[in-house]
Amino acid sequence: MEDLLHQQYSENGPREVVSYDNAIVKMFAIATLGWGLIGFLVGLIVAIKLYIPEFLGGIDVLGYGRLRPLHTNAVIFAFAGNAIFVGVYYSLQRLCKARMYSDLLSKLHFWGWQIIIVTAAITLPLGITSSKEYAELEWPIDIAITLVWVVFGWNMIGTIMRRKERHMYVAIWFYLATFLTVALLHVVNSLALPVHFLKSYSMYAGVQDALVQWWYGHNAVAFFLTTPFLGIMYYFIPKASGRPVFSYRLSIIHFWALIFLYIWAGPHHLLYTALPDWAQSLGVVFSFMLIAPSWGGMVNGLLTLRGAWDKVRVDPVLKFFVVGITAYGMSTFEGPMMSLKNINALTHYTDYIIAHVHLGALLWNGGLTFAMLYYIIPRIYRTKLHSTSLANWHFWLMTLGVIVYVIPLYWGGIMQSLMWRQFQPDGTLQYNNFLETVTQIIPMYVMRSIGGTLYLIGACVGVWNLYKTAKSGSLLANEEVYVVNMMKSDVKNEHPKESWHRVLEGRPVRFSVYALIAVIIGGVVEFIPTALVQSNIPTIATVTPYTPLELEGRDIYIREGCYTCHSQMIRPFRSETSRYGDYSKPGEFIYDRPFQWGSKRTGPDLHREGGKRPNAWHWKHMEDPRSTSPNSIMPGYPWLYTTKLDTKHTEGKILTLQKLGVPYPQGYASRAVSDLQDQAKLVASGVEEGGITNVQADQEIIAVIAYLQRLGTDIKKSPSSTSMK
Amino acid sequence: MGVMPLIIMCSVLVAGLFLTLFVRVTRQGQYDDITTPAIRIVFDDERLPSSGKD
Repeated sequence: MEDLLHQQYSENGPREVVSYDNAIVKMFAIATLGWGLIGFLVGLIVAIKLYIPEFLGGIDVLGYGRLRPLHTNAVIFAFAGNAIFVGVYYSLQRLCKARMYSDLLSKLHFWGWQIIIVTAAITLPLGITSSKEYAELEWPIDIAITLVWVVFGWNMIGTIMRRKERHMYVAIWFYLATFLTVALLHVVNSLALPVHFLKSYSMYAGVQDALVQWWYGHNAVAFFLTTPFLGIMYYFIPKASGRPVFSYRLSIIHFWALIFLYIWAGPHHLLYTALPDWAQSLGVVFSFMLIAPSWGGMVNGLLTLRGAWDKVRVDPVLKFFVVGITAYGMSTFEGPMMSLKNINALTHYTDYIIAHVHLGALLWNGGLTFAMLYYIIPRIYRTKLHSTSLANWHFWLMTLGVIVYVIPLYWGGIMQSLMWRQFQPDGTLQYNNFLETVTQIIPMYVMRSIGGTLYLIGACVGVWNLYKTAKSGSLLANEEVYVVNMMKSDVKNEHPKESWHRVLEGRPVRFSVYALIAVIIGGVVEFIPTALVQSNIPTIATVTPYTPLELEGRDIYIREGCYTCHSQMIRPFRSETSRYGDYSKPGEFIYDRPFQWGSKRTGPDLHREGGKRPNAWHWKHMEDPRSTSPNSIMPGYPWLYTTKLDTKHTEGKILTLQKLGVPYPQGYASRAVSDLQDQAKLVASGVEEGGITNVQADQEIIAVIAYLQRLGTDIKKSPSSTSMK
Repeated sequence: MGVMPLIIMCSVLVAGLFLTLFVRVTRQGQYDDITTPAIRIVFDDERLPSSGKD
């Protein structure tokens, strides 16, 4: 068969020699594994912190709220990101029968991406964050990401232009969609006005910021963690099993349907919030429809193995693929279900979501990544896998680890949610103290960290196995192969009718990219200013901008990652209004840059926290949460009591916010610091009234208390009194 | 909700871009043959003798 095909090719034209770049694949593979282990380890640390709050405690850079974004960024952008590049750089060359467009761009891409990861690993523990989930990095890094991403796209599209195969295999379409859409999402969501080099305020406020963020957040899952991995699936499963994909027609329908539907699903992250109802419903409808292409893709992947299931028994590569695709099917069933409003009301803010995303990340992304590496490494090192039995060990540690991880969290999430909404016959909440619902699920937290440990051990076994495999062979850095150039004109004549678009021939992608960039720039210039001005028109008369002290306190709240455990969004349910107070209104958030709605309630919602408890309670609670709330799993923040509040940038912050349309009085910035000090004295004396001694007004904690006491109080004020002069 | 037009515009833009691409590549004949592409990729390229045969 191979000879026959070869003969046919030769009739079409002379053979050429192409050299595939395997060295770059190797570099990305090493980065994938290295960052993967780090990302998993940080995840395990934060998992343990959930039941031993003082584990590695008392150190600011190792706080839960600072490490959790590091974990998510490391796993998504460093582990899965580098894995995507492994898959693209390996398969694209072979699908296009061409070397990567430019070795220089490949290297720029690789090193640029790794430098971004290193800066992320430094800045996130330092609390330099925008607090927008999976987009936490500050503006200089955001710009660097954009540049490196363009290098990646340039290199990829250049390769496609030079392809020697007329047909673009379906995997290439998935890669292209990834590049184009992530570029757009990243730019739109990251728009911010800098205060200084390491601090910026979001261009959007409140509800708008939330909407843009989850439009980004959901599509980051779609176009960073799904489409490139589907491309990988469509290339590597046929290669590993030696069988063509079950239905190529289905794969094409899968691709186009998936990308058309995914873009609209974002609002399902904001059900029952202050987002307009029609936008929520739109998100629900599209999310639900997504099940069709998602399952089409899953079925297509699994059925590719029809008649080859005997190979799955013995080949570790296929085992990892099968479990990965199965997890994809489960996740994409859960996703549409959880976007239904009644189910969402139950699962949102709970650990159910954490289980859901880890099923996807650990098995779908993780499983496919390891399957791909077990396939690629022996081939580019011209050897055999070091040990099949070690790979089997890895497989079972991974699979069992995920089961031990997700099942307790599914259980705990639903249980806690039911406890939150449990009323007594007299109409009061049965578990009035939020903490009661937390201590109930601590055994589940312990189980999850055991599952995570198993997964991490499995990954270590995998890394060792791949290392030994590489050691036993030698890298074929440049793989020279014979190809037939099917793009030559004499070959093209098979399709005589296409003469009318000769000029555009071979350039549709480039053309589209230029058009996309042009339209985006135009759109951004046109829409952003109007959007911003309109968003600043107060619809609730008593809602006023934050005072300088509250603003600084809010920035510390963001720095410490409080939003990773506390939401600020009370949904209009009786169980929530009974527990927290009046439900949240869109007009209350117009000065929130960025929004702090959060996505997970490990602790209670804080939107109506202001005025609930005395200053001294907050003082004691933040220093040692267990002094006021026995068995609390919140860590203490002792460094807020020893660090003086930095007011160097207060003036600049006010000026920046004024530029964004926040109505501070003209020239207020110059008075900001003295106002801040006056209010700090008031707050400090409030703390002292509670019997605390040794209170200094210039400590960071004072600003945090001022912010917490402001939260959600504007709506209770009478229209005549406002906090700003 | 001044930002809704922006997001909808971006989403329509992406969808429109892909729709244009879809129509264009279909006309180009990308999907005329949906049998052999799936089979073709299964075969490995023939390495040059100097590149070593595994």
